[in-house]
Formats: sequence, C-alpha cells, structure tokens
Amino acid sequence: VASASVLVQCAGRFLVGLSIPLLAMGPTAFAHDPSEFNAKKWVVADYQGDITVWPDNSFPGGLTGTFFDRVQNGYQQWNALCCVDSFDFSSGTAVVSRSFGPCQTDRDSIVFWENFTGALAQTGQCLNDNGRVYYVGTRFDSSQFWYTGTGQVGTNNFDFWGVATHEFGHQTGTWYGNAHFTSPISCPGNSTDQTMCPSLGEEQEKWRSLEAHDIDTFQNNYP
Amino acid sequence: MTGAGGHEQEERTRDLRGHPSEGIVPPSPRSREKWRRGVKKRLGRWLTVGILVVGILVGTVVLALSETTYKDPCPPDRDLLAFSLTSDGTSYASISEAVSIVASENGYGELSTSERETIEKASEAAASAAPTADTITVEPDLPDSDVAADLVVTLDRTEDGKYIPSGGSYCAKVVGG
Repeated sequence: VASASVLVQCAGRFLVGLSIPLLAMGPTAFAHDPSEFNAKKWVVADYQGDITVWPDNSFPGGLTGTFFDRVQNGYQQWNALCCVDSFDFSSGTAVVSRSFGPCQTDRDSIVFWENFTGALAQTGQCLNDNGRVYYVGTRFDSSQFWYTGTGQVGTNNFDFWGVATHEFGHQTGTWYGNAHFTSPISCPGNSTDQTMCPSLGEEQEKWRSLEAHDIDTFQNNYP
Repeated sequence: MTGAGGHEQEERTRDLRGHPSEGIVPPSPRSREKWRRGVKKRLGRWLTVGILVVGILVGTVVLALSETTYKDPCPPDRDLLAFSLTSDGTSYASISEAVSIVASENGYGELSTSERETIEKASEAAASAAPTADTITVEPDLPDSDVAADLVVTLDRTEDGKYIPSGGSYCAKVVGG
C-alpha cells in the first residue's frame, strides 16, 4: 500500500511537470488544436495581408457583380478576426483564365468560375518544401443554381456567400486539404453548425458567418 | 547552546575537525535518527524536483514532436497540392466512377481504358480493405499527367452504401516565375 501511494505521488508530480509546457500553449489549445486539422500556415512570416485574391474574368458580372461581392463577403469574415498579425485577403485585378491544377509561383491566391463535375466548389493548397502554403486556388461550379444575394436563399439554390466563406477557411491553410470539423458537437446538422463543417444543404445560409470553433481554431493557427 | 541539542552539535563539530587524539565519536541513536530524517527529507525534495523536471522535459519533447516536420513527397519539379471538395449532394454508386470523375477533373483529362481499369482495381481494393469505414482513400497508380501525378482521392461512404468524393491530393506541376 505504501509503495502504491508513493507511485501515485510520483505520477502526480510527473503529470504536473508534463502539463506546464502544455498549459503554456494557452487554455483554448486543447479544445481547438489546429494540429487536429493538419493545419498549415502561409509562407508569409507574419501572416500579413498579401494574400491577394485574383479573380478570373469568368465570374458573371466580373468584379462588380454580385458573385464577386459575395466572394469579398466571404474573405472579409476571416479578415475581421484578426489580431496583432492580421491575416488579410484582398482583391487583385483580373488575370487570364487558367485551370485549377498547376501550382503558380507568381500568384498568391485565385478564385474562379468553372463548369466542373461532382462538387459545389473545390479549394486546393500548394505547399513549398517547408510545408508552408504558397498558392491557393478555389473554383466554384458554374453549373449550380447559386443564390448570390444577402437574404433568404431561394428554393433549390445554394448560398454562394456561405460557400465562399467556407472555401476561404481552406484558403487560410487552417483546414488543410479536405480537413473539416466532424464531431457531432461541432456539426450537429442544424443552424448551429460551424462554418468549417463538411456539408451545406440547399436553401441553407448557415455558413455565411463564422462560429466559435471556427474562430478559435483559426486564431490558434495564427495567434 | 544548551541541552542535548547543543551537546550533539559540539560532538559533530569535533568529528568534522577529526582530531586524531580524540578519534571518531560514534553518533548517538538520537542524532543518527535525526540525520536519517534529514537525509530522507532532502532526498524527497530532490526526487520531487527531479520528477517535475523530467515531466517538463518530456512534455516539451512531446510538443516539439507534435510540430511535425514536413517532408515533400513530390519530385523536384512538382509540389503537393491538397484539395477539398464541397459536396453538392451528388453521390455515386460506384467508387471507381467517383474516383474517375475526380481524376479527370484534376489534370488527367479524358481517361484511357487502361487508366480506368487501374482506378477500378485500386477502388475495389480500397473498398474491400475497409468495408465498414466511413472514409475511403484510393491511390490509383496512374501514369503522370502533364499537371498531376500520384493522385490520392478520399471519399465518404454514405449510409446507403454510395460514395461522395471529399478531397485528395496530387503532385502538381509548378509553373510561373
């Protein structure tokens, strides 16, 4: 009994020691650790604003139409979060059309409009040799029935603003690849779903703004 | 100092000096007991400090290892491009059909007969290796396309046994200045 008690005491002291560096990470790290999502960071050392979105001319209405207005609404959700080191999307001028595929070393980030099969949107992140994101592309499927307003989403339509907000979450690198929240706590399947949950139904506008777990996880990746 | 304590202190001082004429005076049982308690106390303190330090060191190492070092899996002229697909609800009864669509949409273009067969075999193998898994990863060994190589596709299995592509990765060609 005495040796068991000593063992328990030693284990207790060891755990106290172990928890000191873990606590130093901050109180929210346990609940929303970005490593859970294999999070990546952009190459820019201070994560500052040079994450320019280069829209393709293919968006209906170009840079002044409602499609691109909602793209801006989407990335502004992430811009609004910040902190000392701002992660800041901004819009650049239109560039020539391109395919989704190659990693472009001369551009920061693109969004474009394309008819493709099997998804509402697709976001890809290219990593450099150090595992940092240096280029991101998002394409939106032009064959979908999109709602591009700011009110109630119409019947059988998908909310373009909400999907844009979600895709820019991937663009930050925090939800790398196809990483999403998946737990029933984060994604119960109703209006309280986090924006970085994996699916959005028709007529739903729940992805437009960010929820607590979205914000905490992003800010843990970009403290 | 007076009393037993003072006397013991005197004895110990004399011992330390080690006067050859006096020899070493054996400690009394009481002072031996006191000395033993002192040593025990000091050892206990050092043990506590030691265990705490080891705990901190192990914790720090665990944290350092969790910051995984990235190893680029791609050839020198390509970089890893990982992608997510936001589903529009479309599901596929055939896993190989779903993978073929993702492949043709990501740099492989129109697939040849042999490419389709390769995808089919890889899809069947992945599905049978994880018959109840919610997520399946297919890695068809496709010849390098102009823009993509080493394609990996992940799919979610629906409750009715269909498949929804959710993302993947490939080694993308690097272009630009």
